[in-house]
Amino acid sequence: MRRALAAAAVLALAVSGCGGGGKEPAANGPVEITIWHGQEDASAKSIEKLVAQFNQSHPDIKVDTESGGATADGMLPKITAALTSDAYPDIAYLYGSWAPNIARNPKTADLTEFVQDPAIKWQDFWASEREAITVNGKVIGFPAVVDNMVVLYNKKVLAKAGLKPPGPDWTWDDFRAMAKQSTDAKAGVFGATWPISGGEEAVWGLWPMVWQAGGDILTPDHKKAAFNSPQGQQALDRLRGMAVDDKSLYLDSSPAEKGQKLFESGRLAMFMSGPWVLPDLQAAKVDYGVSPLPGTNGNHETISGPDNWVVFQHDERRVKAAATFLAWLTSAEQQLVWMSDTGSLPIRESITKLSGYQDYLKKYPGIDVISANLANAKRVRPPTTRYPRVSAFVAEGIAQALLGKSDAKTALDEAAKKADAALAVPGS
Amino acid sequence: MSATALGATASQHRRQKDRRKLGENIAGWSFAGPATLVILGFSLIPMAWALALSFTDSDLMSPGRNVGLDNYRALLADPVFFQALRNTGLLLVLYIPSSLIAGLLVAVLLNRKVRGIGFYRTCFLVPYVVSATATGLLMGFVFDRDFGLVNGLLAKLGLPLQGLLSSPSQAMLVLTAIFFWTRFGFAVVIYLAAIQEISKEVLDAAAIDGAGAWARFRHIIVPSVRPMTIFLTVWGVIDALQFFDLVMTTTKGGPANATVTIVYYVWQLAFSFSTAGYGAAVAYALFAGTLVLIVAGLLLARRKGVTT
Repeated sequence: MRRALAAAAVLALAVSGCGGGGKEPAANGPVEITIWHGQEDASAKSIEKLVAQFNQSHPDIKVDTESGGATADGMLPKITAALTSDAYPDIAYLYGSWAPNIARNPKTADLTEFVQDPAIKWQDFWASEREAITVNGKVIGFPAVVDNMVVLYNKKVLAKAGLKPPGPDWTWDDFRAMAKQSTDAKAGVFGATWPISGGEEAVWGLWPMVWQAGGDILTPDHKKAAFNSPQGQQALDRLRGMAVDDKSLYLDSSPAEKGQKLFESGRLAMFMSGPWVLPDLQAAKVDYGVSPLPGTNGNHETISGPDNWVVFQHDERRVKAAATFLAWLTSAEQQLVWMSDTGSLPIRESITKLSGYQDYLKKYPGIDVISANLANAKRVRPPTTRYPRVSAFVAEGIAQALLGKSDAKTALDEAAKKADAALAVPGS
Repeated sequence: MSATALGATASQHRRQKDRRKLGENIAGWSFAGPATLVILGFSLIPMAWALALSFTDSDLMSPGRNVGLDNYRALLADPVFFQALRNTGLLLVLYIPSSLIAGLLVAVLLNRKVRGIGFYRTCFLVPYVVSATATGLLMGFVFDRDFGLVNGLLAKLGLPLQGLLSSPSQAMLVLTAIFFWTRFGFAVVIYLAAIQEISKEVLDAAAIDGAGAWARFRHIIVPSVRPMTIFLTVWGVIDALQFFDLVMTTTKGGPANATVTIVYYVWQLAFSFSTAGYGAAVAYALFAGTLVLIVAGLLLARRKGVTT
């Protein structure tokens, strides 16, 4: 009997332990808040260092860092589960494309008034970032990281193929020709790579080509697919030609993004990616260069994926504490520390005027090009909860075309038909 | 002894019995309670919740609206669902017989006294123990079309190169092979244990009666391990129908949905496409299918006169 009681006690403890996450607000003493930062390695160290500094200089707030048990990629399922079971953090690191889904949850905080405070200098954030954290006029957090797509090239591989680095006026036809010339099947060298796994990574590189030519992803009301326009077909047809006729594209079927490793080991001449790979490329001692994307009629528009710190509501005090912390974290001085540690881009215009900014540029060769390329990031992917579904259909079409199973028009028309059906379902 | 005294003893007796019964009940439940709570908390309640979810258009972010049977109707018109069914069915059809046959043969081979037998037995179990993430990443390199070991070997032998994980027609077969490699070690272990239970006298008697190795295998070993075969079939069906982790780490369902399995599709619907209600409906379709398959299988086995 005594044993049974002990077992019951243990069970009760376990059950109450499961419901953790909700801290009782202490009447006096510091407000405790939790942040799921989702960062790894150098970025995780940097954010933890900054949080420790904040905790020291702000005795009335205590920030606890947790990775959230997930990397940035896996944060949406994690936060979805956490919100359902009422064990959610105050702040989480979430991709900008998830904002429309997240904002549907009533526990998402509303910081619209808070960011009006002139001390925050809200207008100092880039416009595309402010757009990404605002859903239907409601500000749900702070910008965290901004990036954009560029072409990284391996100087040695290009030189070996007798090619010069791309100039500022290069076009997609130049890109194709260079990829073809630098491909050396016998040596296992490809001109470039394209992911054909079922995820967003297979899709987002297509959109700048479509946008540059004047096309779009969806119609302005987000009710119909627009990507199967002539602009879309031309873009996919070019890629198909590279993959099927030139055989200059390495088709990456794994979600592990082997492209980067191949680029590091000199098996790819060019690699479409973003600033997040620079620290790795430096560690691998790759002799690389950075260029904006090839252009269409002089338009070098790129795509960006702003990431956010989203705030969730427990009570007024905690929301205010979370906002205070984020205002501090995203201020220019703190961001320069973060950028220098991680190679991230400036999220505020004023950062580029700080004296330490020049040291940061020196630390990451090529980051100046990517930073300047922010001006080429004009549009974001459609802020609708249906986008992930549409993207999956397009990914399927891209794979069909690049594997030579279908031509560009058929593949995109097929994807558009499915996307239209998914977009027609009522709801947001 | 008076009647009243007799009645008193009887009721006293009953009280005692009741008390003992109560004590037994408490003791019984205190042993069964924790497990019951775990099953309730982690299986039955979530199952009921998922059933309720499957009648809504919930995205897990906001409370969904009731849509009745719409999710189930949508299922019938969903080409990806049927592709997932075909992919999973292919896995099932290839994996179950091959794992049973290979498992039994390897178990027979491992059931002998050779030097270093422990090492060989371990070898077959290691793939089962290694995490699916590690296996998936590793196999992604082995079966890569352009840089993989397999095509490298084919090239050396002068054989035509294969599309492997980059080919919509081969990717599911490759995944099936990987799945087989990671799981059939389990069948080996179960069969090995069963074979070691077969009494040596029976085998010796058969040998004296002139039964060769094949006859002993066919007429003694195979019938003796039949309960294990049924267990492994049921287990394998469940395992194959729930195939998810390797898909996640090798192909993410690509290329062109060629390796989307039902459970991977459920995950995509619920957590990538914010259609958790529809995902729950697909999960319930899977549940119904699994139930039908297993009940049919057990009935078939019972009709053949085998009890499990």
